[in-house]
Amino acid sequence: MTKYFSPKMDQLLKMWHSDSPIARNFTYRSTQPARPACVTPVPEDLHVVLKEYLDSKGITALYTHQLKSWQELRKGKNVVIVTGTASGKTLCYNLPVFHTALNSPAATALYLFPTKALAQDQKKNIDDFFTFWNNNSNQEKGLFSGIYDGDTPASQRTQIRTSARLILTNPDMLHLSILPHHTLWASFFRSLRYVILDEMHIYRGVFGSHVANVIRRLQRISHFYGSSPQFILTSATIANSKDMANNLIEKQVTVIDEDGAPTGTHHFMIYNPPIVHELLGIRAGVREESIHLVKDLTACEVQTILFARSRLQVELIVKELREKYQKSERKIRGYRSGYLKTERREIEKDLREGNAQIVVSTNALELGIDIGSADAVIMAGYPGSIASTTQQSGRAGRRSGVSAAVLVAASSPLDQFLVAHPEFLTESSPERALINPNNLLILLNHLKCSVFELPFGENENYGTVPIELIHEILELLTASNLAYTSGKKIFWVTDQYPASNISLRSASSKTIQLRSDSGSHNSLIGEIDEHSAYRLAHPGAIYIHEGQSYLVNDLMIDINEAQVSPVAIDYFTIPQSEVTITEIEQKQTAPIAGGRKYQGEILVTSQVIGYKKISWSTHDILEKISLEMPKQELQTIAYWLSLDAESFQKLQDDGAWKNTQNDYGSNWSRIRKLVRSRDQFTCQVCGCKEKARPHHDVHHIVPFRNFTNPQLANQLDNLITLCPACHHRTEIKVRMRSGLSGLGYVLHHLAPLYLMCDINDLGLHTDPESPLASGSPAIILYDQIPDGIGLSETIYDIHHSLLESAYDLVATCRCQDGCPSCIGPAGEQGSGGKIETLALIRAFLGTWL
Amino acid sequence: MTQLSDKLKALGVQLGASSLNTKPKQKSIAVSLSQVVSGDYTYSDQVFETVEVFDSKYQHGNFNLWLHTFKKVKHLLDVDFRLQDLIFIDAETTGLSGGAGTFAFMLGLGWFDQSNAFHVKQLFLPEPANEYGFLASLTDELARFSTLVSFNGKSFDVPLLRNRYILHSATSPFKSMAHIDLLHLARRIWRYRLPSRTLGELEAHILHFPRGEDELPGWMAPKLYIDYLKTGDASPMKGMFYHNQIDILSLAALLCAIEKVTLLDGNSASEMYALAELFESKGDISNAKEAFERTTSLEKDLDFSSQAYHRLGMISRRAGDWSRALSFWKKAAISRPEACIELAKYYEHQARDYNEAEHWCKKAMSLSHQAIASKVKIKEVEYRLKRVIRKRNAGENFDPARNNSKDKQHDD
Repeated sequence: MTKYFSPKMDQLLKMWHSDSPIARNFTYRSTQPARPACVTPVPEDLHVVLKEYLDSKGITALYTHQLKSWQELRKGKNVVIVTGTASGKTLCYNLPVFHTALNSPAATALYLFPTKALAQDQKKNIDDFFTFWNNNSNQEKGLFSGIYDGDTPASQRTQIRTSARLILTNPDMLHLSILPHHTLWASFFRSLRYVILDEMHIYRGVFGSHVANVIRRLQRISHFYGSSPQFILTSATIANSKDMANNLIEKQVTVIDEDGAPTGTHHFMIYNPPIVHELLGIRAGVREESIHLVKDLTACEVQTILFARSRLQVELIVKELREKYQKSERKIRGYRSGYLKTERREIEKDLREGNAQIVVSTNALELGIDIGSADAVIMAGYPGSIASTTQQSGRAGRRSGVSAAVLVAASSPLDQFLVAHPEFLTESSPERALINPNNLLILLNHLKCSVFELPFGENENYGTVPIELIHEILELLTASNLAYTSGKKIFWVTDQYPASNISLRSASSKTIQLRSDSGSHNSLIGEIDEHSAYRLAHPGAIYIHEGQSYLVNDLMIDINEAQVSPVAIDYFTIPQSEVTITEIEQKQTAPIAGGRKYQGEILVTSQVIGYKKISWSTHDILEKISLEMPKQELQTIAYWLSLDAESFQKLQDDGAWKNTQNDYGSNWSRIRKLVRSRDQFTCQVCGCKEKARPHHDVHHIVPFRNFTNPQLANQLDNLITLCPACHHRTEIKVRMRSGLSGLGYVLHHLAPLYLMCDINDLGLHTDPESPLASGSPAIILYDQIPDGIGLSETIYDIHHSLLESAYDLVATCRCQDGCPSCIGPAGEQGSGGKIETLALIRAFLGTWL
Repeated sequence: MTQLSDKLKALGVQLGASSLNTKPKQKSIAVSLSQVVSGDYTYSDQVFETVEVFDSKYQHGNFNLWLHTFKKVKHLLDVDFRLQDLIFIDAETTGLSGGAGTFAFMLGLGWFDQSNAFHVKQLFLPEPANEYGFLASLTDELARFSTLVSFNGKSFDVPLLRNRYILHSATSPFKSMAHIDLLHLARRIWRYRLPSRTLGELEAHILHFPRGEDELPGWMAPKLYIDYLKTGDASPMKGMFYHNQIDILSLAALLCAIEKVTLLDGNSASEMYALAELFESKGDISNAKEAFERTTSLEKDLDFSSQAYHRLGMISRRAGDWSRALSFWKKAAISRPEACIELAKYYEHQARDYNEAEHWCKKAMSLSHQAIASKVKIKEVEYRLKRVIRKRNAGENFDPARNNSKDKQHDD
């Protein structure tokens, strides 16, 4: 590995530390000092040829974690290795696999990688050793490994199946092709000794819940052929690596997390772009600011990887950088999926050898592809999970020298929360990788595949699924003529290949394709599940994909297609839904300060009834359009919390809802009189007439402070006459609604920090009179996947930490009354309301009273 | 269960094509297998078996099933066998998609006895749980034979059955057997005569065998079998037994039909030409020559006879017999541009008669616009024509000896 280290790194760090205007925006700096390697001699019992091989590579000692995993695996344990980027995890699994391959002439191993590119990259390491062995041994049959994925030519498949000792593949291929055709792999499965699951943390959510079931099927088939492979998993740092590994393979796992690899000095910084619009709380764009930082990096000749959040962003940034800094094309490169293989290899090589100075990449470079190291990393926006942040940051500076990583924060609540709480990124991570292998839909699908693969015994187990549930599902399969019971076994008897209808990447089998009819060709933009289609792809919606806006022309559910066309417009759309939530079964509940928390099964009935066009630049509502979309039902798992009546009263009594008097404008008394006379001096709620004194009040239906222009707020149709008592009640309701909606917004945005999920994986509903809490105000967060994937259960458990983080975020936000970075932009119905939100959180934390 | 199915429904699941409220099993009043076809339970009642013998007078469509030598067929297949070594096989399965979840529930087997009578035995799997016995009885049946005969069995029936043996950790009987898959042979022989060469099409147009009213199409097999399992009513199986039996008989008749074609008498021009090609591709030049020559005598089809002349010309050229080659190509040149090209090559490189070469180039170009299935590329002909004209214009100054090798290289 050629080390490309720039002596000018110090100059750069000095520059960013000085009191230049840019230095102020670095809100956080930390330095991880260099750490020497912890090494140990190569184990005595290692096969002699492997020792020679290590010698030939100049490896005379192992890092401690490599030895530990060797020892644990020799004892027959399953292990999960959780050490840093580039700490030599590959050797942790390759050593025992190679050793076994040499000692037992038939032994095989299965390597599973989440991407095809990773398999390609890892095959190089394996073949390097196999070539060494084949050249140095007089064995008749050499060792041979094979990649078996969608790109493997049909002509090579038979040979790989029958003679490769190591198979490199991905979970999708295992599910779709290998397991359903296991008889063709009989000799491979008979001798299967190891299964490697690299980058385990990728297998979370729906994908992970599927993969856990594929592993169940794999273990079932292995058992049939009389083998019981050991599992070796690797993972980025997450809060629950042991539990996660346990959930994935349903076996005891030993965690190896003492990292013995050396590291150089590593600087980690957070850059918060300056506020450019005080009132709306808008900050300078992430892309512009990142490009700005690159200027300093190139000036100091520091080799840099810039991570962008989408493929489109990569292209835009590369284009701008080339225009701006006039560097040769070879110096500034883009890297993402979709590039040709040869091109990617060339860029990787240029990175290793220092020929490329700036590489702009999606997260494609985040996972273990061997690129050597860069001196600096810039992350243009929070990559979406702490694990990704750590891995991307770790791409700068591997084992020696000085390196730097900068996270450029966006204005989302999560990014801004991390600006205020960088310890979440640098100290122990709160992120949990969550899966629910027993999600009914996913389980059902994989049980179908299992029955197809081998007749199912009457008392056979399947992973840790309760036997009664297995029986119920199998009975259902036989009742629907997919399976048949004969001689105490259940047989698949249908002309169907069940795996082909099941994608590991989605829970529902029905997806809607978004097709763009731009010009002559009809191209596929993306896919969304049917449930989301009504919200995101209703006619008139603006669907944003990789930064490009598409107008949805038509949604054709019956043919699973939405027709979209690319447009250049300056608004986005927000669907208006009518949502009702009914409780199916409460599973857990506990009293908390201010009320109760709950967890259980619910039915969400939603109907998109219209949408709003919102201006990108001013966030004003440009137009409201009515729609009538079909009703949707989602049966899923939810977490909710409710405020009890006493706390509600207490907050009122203590004036928690109060804020400063608004200035309604100079002509307010005239308008006020006009409205009262229009309403015939009668309260429009209770009907009581105005007496001489005090006058009735005039109420803003949409709160005054939601408007930037008093004239718009004071339009007559936004005003109504109410008696003081009714006005008070109405105000309280509005305030309550504001508080609930503000708290809902912030919880919804912060939860992904703990759950390692996308914000769209969670649904949010707030209700001042919720039937789920006997009419009390409630906030409901629910899994968007039917039957849930474990998100809501976890929120129930971490509820207190989540509320504390929410309080911190809102309390420290510098905005006046809500902004997109804390409780959300001011809406029309009671959004905005920072004071109310804070009061509510304090009530729930028990710090109000 | 109701609760679970309700929940799944609420989660948006639709299971299978049939509704969830299928009728319960009613085996007591249902029609049994032996009421539908005459046969017995064997193998400790694991397998239901039927046997029917067709004597040597049996006529299947236009074909009688015996008294064949299969001499040329053996030659074409590079397999040697006696008629009594052959076992014809065809499986009815629960699906076509393959994989470990597809199994055979009916196996048709056919063979000739010493007196040339044809036996059709059908093995039926009454319950999926009996599969081990079902496979064991297949192994027993196959033991007496050395060679399988199937239609598409190399890619479908045999791999599928082999999987089943693996699933029962049993040894597959196929390893030691030769296998004649008639699909490939039939496809090549009738490639010019029939647009589609499925067993059904061959039966209708080659064997001229009409199926009776008991016939149920093979694609219905999976559904009929599950219906039978669920209800115990064997009546729909009658059609499956019939279908499978006819498949075996047609398989035997098809082998006879192929043999008849190899005997050359009574073939159509397209059959004759296809057969000649087949012989040629096997390197059997003498049989190929004979078949090509016979094609030319079937005057009805000008196109095939011209093509045959062309191929005969090529065979003669390879044998070094230029004069015969020229006469064949000139006959073929009526309609085949390929033959014109060969003539042009001859006149350019061998005779160095550039006027003649030019003539054949031009003829090739005009023909290639009309000819069917011609592989001649206009661009190449144009290039050749230019070169020929250049050479002719170079006249005496042109030294053919010097350039000859280069041009030849280009042509080969």
